Amino acid sequence: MNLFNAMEVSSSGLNAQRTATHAISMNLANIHTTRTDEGGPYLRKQAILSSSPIPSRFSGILAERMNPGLLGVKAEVRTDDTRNHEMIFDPTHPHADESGYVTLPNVNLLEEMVGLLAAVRSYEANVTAFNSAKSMVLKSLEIGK
Amino acid sequence: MGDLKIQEILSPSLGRGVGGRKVAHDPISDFKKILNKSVREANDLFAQADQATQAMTFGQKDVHQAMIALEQANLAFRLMIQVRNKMISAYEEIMRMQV
Amino acid sequence: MDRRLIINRLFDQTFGLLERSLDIRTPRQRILSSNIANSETPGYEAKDIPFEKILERSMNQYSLVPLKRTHTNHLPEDMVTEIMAETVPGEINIDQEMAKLAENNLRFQAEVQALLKKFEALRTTISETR
Repeated sequence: MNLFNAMEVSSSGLNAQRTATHAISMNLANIHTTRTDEGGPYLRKQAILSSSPIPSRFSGILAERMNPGLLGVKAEVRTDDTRNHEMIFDPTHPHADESGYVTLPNVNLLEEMVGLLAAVRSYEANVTAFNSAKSMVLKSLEIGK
Repeated sequence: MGDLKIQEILSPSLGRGVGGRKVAHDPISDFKKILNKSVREANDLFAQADQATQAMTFGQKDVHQAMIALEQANLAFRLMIQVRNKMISAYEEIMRMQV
Repeated sequence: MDRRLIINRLFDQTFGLLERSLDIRTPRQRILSSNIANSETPGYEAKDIPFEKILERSMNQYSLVPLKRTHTNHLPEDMVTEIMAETVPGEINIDQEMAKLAENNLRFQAEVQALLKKFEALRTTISETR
């Protein structure tokens, strides 16, 4: 049970990092997008991580007692980054405003790349953790052989 | 060698001293007692193993706990069989002596 | 009444020690996995189980109740040491968590192997009698 729970925790980590990676790739793809369907430039997506309990699939009271603080992680994608958008002066641009300024997405290339590296490294760490728990289960099965 | 180990395990239950001094015991009822005890223990351990297996299926116990319980039950069962075999061969030997 | 089972004499204290070790390592694996999954979660506090402390405590209790045991080396429910995790303050160092995870895994495998060998020896002893 502990080991299966460990695997579920790791897999929640995999999910969260995948969500983060997805947000980052959207940011990178839209780094020059000056007009979206909602009007205005592309808004940077951010994956906010928070720990969340792994739901117990069985209703065992014993399971709850033995799992205080079994915490996985979940990622929530938000578009509420409050940093300023860079504006450049280009009156010839189709999306320029009345003063001739174009508002760019608030996406910083280097920042996104660093975030991507971190997400990938974290993803790999969760893969290792998952395999580690799995190997322990397989080993304990040998007891019965 | 294995023979000796079983005797060591069983001899306190037989009420013998370490030197193997014979006490006035009816060997057949002694064996019966031990065999019954073995059977009960094997049963108990099997019941425990069952319980552990169910707990594992419901996610309340880990795999290793169920495996250990199962293996212990298994060994208890084997021991019981050996005790039975020993009892039978000891009985046969005793019966041979009384001619 | 002699409550000591015949079978108890087969399963010595090392069995109890090994089994208890495995019982501690499995929740520890879960907790370390949780630390790794949450290594970038803001506000998350890493946890760990002080393995040696808990094991020692368990074995002390174990040796205090030799005559009360009615089932092999299983401790009576009320005497089982609670396996409590402690909070590790500070930022989560993911490399350290990975190292702890690897160690926990390897020691688990070693303990299972030892258990396997002991069971095997017993099986041979019981079966090879003539």
